[in-house]
Amino acid sequence: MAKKDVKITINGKEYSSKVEPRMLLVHFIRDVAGLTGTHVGCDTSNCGACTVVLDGKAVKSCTVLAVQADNRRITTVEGLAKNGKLHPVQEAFVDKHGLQCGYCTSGMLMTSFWLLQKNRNPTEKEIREALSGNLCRCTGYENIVKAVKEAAKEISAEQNKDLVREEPIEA
Amino acid sequence: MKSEEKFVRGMGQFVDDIKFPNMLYMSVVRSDYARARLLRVKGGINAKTFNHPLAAVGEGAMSGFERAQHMVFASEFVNYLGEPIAAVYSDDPYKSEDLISSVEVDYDPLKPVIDPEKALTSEPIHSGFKNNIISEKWLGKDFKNDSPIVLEDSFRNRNG
Repeated sequence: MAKKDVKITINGKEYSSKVEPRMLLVHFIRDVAGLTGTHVGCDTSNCGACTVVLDGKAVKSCTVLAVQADNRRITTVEGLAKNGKLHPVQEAFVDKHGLQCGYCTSGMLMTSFWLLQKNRNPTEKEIREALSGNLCRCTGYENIVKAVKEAAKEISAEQNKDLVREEPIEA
Repeated sequence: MKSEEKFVRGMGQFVDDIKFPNMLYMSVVRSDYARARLLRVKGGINAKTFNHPLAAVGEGAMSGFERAQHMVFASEFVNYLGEPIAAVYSDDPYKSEDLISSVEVDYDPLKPVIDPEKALTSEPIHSGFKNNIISEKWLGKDFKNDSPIVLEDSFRNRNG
């Protein structure tokens, strides 16, 4: 099969490779870029373990071809922490025990991260709806939903702090 | 690092993350039928070249169970849809999937018994078995059913 040149920016770093047109994005991420935090759970876009954010949208990377992501930007679970500091959504999953075996966690985090980017203050129903494409066989979802709620609070609090810093009250 | 932190950073290690030098990917040729006689299998590693039972299938799960021997690859018959018949290997997962089509399998399709009650009186699936009963429990003559209310029902297990 004739290979195609693709260039994909993952977590701010550019990866170029010649790949078969049939190569799935998740295999590009795992095997070409070597980022194994993105998992293949079902291969059929049911489970959501492979969820990544592609140009601001949460997608299941087992259902996107690497060639479709050419010249586009992706965030994976490895790109959430900044300078070693966990993103609030990661902190909250640890605090609220939103995981056990950890296999679905990367996908859960990426869907939650995407949700909180477009909706700063989601209701429980909105959280459950957003995560309906991500399956977890350990937690029963309760702690995952709690974690997303806590992350939303934490992000709002941080933004309020930033506002205070940006506009200090003059004495 | 707390174990949970490792997972939220995407640093967990799962089977799919293990890499060895010269590692191969395996694809499995699986039965297209729920019940069929296997007339011919050509290609890949199959029951002719690798005729071994699985080391353990539910061993020790419960006492009083008949033990059926599960072979790695089916020979003579396939007993369920997706039963492994042969395996092919490549250093590339996509190429190993391609190799599935290099394996030739001829079937003589048979009618599967899919009703558990009919299976009680049907020809045994596993060779060496007298029937298709894996476990039969009788609570014994000391079991008293003199309770004020006695409920009787049949139960079906979804995973059965």
